[in-house]
Amino acid sequence: MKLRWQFVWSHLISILAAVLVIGAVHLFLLLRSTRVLEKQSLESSLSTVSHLLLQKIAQLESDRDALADFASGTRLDGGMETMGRLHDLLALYRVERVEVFNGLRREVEAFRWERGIGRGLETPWFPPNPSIAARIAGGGTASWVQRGASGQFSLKLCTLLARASPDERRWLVVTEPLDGTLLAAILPTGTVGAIEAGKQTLATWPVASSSSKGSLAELAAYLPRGTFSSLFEPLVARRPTVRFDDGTVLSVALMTSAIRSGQSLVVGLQAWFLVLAGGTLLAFTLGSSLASRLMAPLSALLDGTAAMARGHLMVRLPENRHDELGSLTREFNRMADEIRNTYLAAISTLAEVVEAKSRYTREHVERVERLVIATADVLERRGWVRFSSHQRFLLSVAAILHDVGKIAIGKEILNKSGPLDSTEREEILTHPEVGALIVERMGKLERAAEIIRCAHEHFDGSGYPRGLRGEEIPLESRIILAVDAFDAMTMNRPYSSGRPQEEAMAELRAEAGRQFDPVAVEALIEVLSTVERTKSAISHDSGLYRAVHPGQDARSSRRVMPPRDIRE
Amino acid sequence: MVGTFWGGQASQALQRELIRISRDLGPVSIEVRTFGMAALNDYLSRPQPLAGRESLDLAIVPHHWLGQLAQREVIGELPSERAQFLRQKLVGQALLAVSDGERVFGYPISAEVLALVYDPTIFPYPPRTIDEILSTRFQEGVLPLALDISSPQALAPLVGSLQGGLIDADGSLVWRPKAVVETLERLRAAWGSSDGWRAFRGSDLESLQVQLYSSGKLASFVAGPWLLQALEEAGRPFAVMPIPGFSGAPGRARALVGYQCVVISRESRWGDLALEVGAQLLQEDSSDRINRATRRLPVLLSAYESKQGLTSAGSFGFLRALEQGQFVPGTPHWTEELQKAEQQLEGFASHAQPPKLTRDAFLSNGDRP
Repeated sequence: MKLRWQFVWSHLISILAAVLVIGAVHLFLLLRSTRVLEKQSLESSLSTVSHLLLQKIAQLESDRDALADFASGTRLDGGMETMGRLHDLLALYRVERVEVFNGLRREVEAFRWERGIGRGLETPWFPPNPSIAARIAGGGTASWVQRGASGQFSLKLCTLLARASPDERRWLVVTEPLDGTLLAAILPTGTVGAIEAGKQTLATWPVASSSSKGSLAELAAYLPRGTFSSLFEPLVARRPTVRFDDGTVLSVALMTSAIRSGQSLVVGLQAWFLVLAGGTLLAFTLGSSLASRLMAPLSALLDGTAAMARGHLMVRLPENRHDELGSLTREFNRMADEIRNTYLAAISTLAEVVEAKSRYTREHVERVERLVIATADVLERRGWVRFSSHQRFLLSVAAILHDVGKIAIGKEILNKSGPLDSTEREEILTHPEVGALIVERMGKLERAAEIIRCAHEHFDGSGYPRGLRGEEIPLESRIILAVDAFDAMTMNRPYSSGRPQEEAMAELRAEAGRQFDPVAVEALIEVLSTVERTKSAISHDSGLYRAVHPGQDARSSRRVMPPRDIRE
Repeated sequence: MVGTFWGGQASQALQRELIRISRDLGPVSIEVRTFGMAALNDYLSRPQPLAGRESLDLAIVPHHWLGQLAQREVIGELPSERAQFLRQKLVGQALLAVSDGERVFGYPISAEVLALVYDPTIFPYPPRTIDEILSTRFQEGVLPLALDISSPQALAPLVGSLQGGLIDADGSLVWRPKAVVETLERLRAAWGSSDGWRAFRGSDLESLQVQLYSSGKLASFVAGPWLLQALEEAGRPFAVMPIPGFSGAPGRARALVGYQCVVISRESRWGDLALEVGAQLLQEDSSDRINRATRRLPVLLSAYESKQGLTSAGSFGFLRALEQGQFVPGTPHWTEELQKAEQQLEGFASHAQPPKLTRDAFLSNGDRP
């Protein structure tokens, strides 16, 4: 895996771990607070429902008393008129069933068919509970819960009617069925509930089925469902609400589904995923940024090393860091310098050997190199060609060693002042090939060797050793040929003076397109003209040859010296 | 929110069914709110004030309200695909009851019709006419017949038999005072003294009639199928038959057939959901459960094909009444005429004592409380 991705992944894993932990804690706290809120809300609903139930019972007591007022002064015979009047009162007081007992005899009864129909809610006289019977017999009011014949529970409220005579004992009982309808009117939306007495469920809403009373647990199926709400236990709250005279404690129980918890879970997960997405993006950005910061010098080092391996000896990396990577870069540069200097020392040695054998001075080598580089600059400026630093280095090497093959030529032939015979001529024609072979053996300088091999090929194909023409000849070779010829023409020899520069330039122009590349000639003439016009020499500080001999005046020195750091 | 005037077990059954439906439809909370009939009509018809009054999404109403509700733009027309769904599932009359031409305004969920409940131990065979009931000798303190004198639906078969029909060619209610007065005149023997008058009028009349019947103080009365459970629990034998006409009446007595319909309020914020809830109430299972609980008659073709929910003797009697009954159009004009008739009868029934039976007395307002 690439280092960049290792960085990204390590950041990603760290941030994901942090987000997961923080998200889990946040979700836990969110759910807990929501659960508490739900519980509080249910408790609040329970308070309201309990209050409403108490109100309903209070209303029933009030209705009982009102009906008792009516019944006390009325003769109730169970006839049509009495029944009609009782039904008018039922409608007025919204009581479901009213009964009047005279002694042990039921004098009259009336009920609304919707809820109090049938014999199921009749009041047995006296009630089976002895304490209630005692209260009633004692003339007090009494309230109790009764299970009817059909299993339906009802709430009974009894009062002794005012006596018309000392012997008269008449009681009035009103009944409210304890069924789901009672709860339906007071339950909040989305909540199911039950009226319970101890562990017994008296009524539920919704009614589980027409045949069964059901229990609160069975009602869970009726709870509204929300997203993820089924993951949470329904909330249940119970509260004892009222105690009747028979000792029955009526409790109200409410149950609601954890819809808000489900919603909170959704919100929490959404937030979690949002943070996760943000964290992933952050991890990628941070990891990528850090990787870029670390990888830039490493990549440069890698590229530099690869370039060095391919023979690019001019590689030098920017040293703009002050950390370990900066030290590594400096060490690399130092290593690259040493390798380069080793090469340069070898080149220098070869150049020295050539000088020792030929009549050429070291100034010639130096001038040729400078002019070649200057000519290459002009060509670059005109946009005709683009040299990399490595190509420029190879050009310098080739310019310095363009005649290194002369090592293999006899000194008498090299320095012969008269015309060469055919044997001598053939021998001298071998020196480009010999020079190329020598440079090739140095390694990493194959291109320089090829330039040297072609440095005596003429543009029209009349050169040697292979008779290449035009574009077949490397541009660098064409430049070296023109510059070498110009310098040979203008160079002063111990035994003769060089030709004037104008004349040499005219000669170059005359031979452009034949011996020389017109482009190279034109660029060289521009170089020469510029030097003439500005009355300045080409910088003596430039050029590889000069770099090999720092601190020495080229004109005063007759020999090519190895660079100082090599000598050291 | 669903508005209904159903109470007691009918309301419970509706709530249970809506809970089932809401669970199938997803996280939907459906609340049932119970109103009196007049209050429901008022709630539906009035524009909702800005605050403090929630709009109803659905309501369960008698089908003869539909015309006026549509005219007042309280309810809208059902989409064509829903109407097509109804055409495939309903008996023909039920669909006609909620339609105006091609336009369908609600989902009919149950049928209802008034019939005569009588004591088979008193009447060894079904009485052929009202006069036969009234001329039967009863014990002291036993009323031969009771019906809600303030209800045009209860009197309509008798008035219609005297008039020779109840609906004219335009589909309007024919309610001639002369025929109404004659009907009341011929019924006078039923309430006899002032004691019996309460069994024909007043609040909680159905409860009173059931209790009088169950205690042997009433020999027959006009009732709807929703009283079947009460009669079954009362413990006294009973039989049900179509309301007979008067002897010598030119026409047959035909009870008005009504339907309970689910309508969708135009103010509903969840119109599509409300439409779906209405359609769900018409599914075979839902419809059967509601009809069993409310003891009303089915409207689905499949229920009649399978005889589902029609097996009890009482149901059979009401079914016969339904078959012989008079279909009521749900047009605005019909509703208007019916309301006029209702006002007249309420005026008459508001008298605390039986009024004189003259045309003028009938048209007066009586002594309303």
